Amino acid sequence: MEDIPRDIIEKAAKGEMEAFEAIYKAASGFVYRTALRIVNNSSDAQEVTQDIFMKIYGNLKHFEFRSNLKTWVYRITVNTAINAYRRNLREKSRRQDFDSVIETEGHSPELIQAAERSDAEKQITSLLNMLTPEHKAVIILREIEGLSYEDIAQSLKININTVRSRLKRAREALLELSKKAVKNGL
Amino acid sequence: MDCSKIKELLLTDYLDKQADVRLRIQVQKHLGACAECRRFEEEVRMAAVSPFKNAAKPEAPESVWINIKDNIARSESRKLSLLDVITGKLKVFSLPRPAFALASTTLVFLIIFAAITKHSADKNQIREYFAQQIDFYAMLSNGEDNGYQNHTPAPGVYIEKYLF
Repeated sequence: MEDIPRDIIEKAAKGEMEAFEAIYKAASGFVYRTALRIVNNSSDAQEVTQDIFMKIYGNLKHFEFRSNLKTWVYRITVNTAINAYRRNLREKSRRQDFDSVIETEGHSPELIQAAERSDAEKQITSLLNMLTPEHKAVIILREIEGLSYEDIAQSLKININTVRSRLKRAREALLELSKKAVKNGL
Repeated sequence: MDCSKIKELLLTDYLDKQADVRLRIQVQKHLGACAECRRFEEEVRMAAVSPFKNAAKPEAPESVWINIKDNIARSESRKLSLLDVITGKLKVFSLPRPAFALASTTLVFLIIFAAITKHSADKNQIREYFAQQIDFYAMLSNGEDNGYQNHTPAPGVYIEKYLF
């Protein structure tokens, strides 16, 4: 995500839409991708992205430049996306019976879309889905968005050693999955 | 450094290029001499790094920004209409100064007048009460017949004779 100049942030905080659009352009890629990887569904990711930018717009006037806007955006994104993922999971478990009926009647557009994705994308999605939301978040921030340990720690408001231990556990889990896949001849 | 420490670094700082030069050299020396750790490094890279190397980087669809703009416009207009209601209620305070001063003075006079009239009404009641009491004692001393005397026993003892 690109750095956003201070004057743009100040103008957006005063309600100037052009300045806010500049912030959107700089941050929306990161926000949408991270949301998409966490919630694993395009329409939910769009909803989460809208929600995040409404939060940013509503809270910009309280931003005091003590931290980087990027870090603040990373934090709002990860927290909002994880909350949406958990909410969806609860709703899904409630709707399981309904979904099973739908599946027997035919494939949804999302399933078709998923089938059309490249093998690499399918592998990424299935690997991320095996991780806990917290482990998923550190892997996305590190492996896909390329954040440093320091940035991840600030974004998630956790200790840098917690970043290390989450990455270690997430990678151990991925290693375990890979071994099982090899064992099962997948 | 033993294998478990090296494996920990292979899963974190060494793999992510966060380790300093001294540490990197130590790990590389160990990898040069330890086949098991070399195999472990290969497995980690295959399972936890390579799959994410070519991850797609999609952008948010155009409709997302349109929806955000609409939501902002809606919330701003809601804020404005709420402001209109509040300012409408407070319009009385925006009256011209002389009119506001006249209204306030009238109100103060009304309050004072109400207090005075209430006070004089109380005074009249007290005056009336005392007049009744004086009449009553006068009647008693004159020995006039009235309802009270009907209940008085007939004088029989000295003190009663003295009093009545």
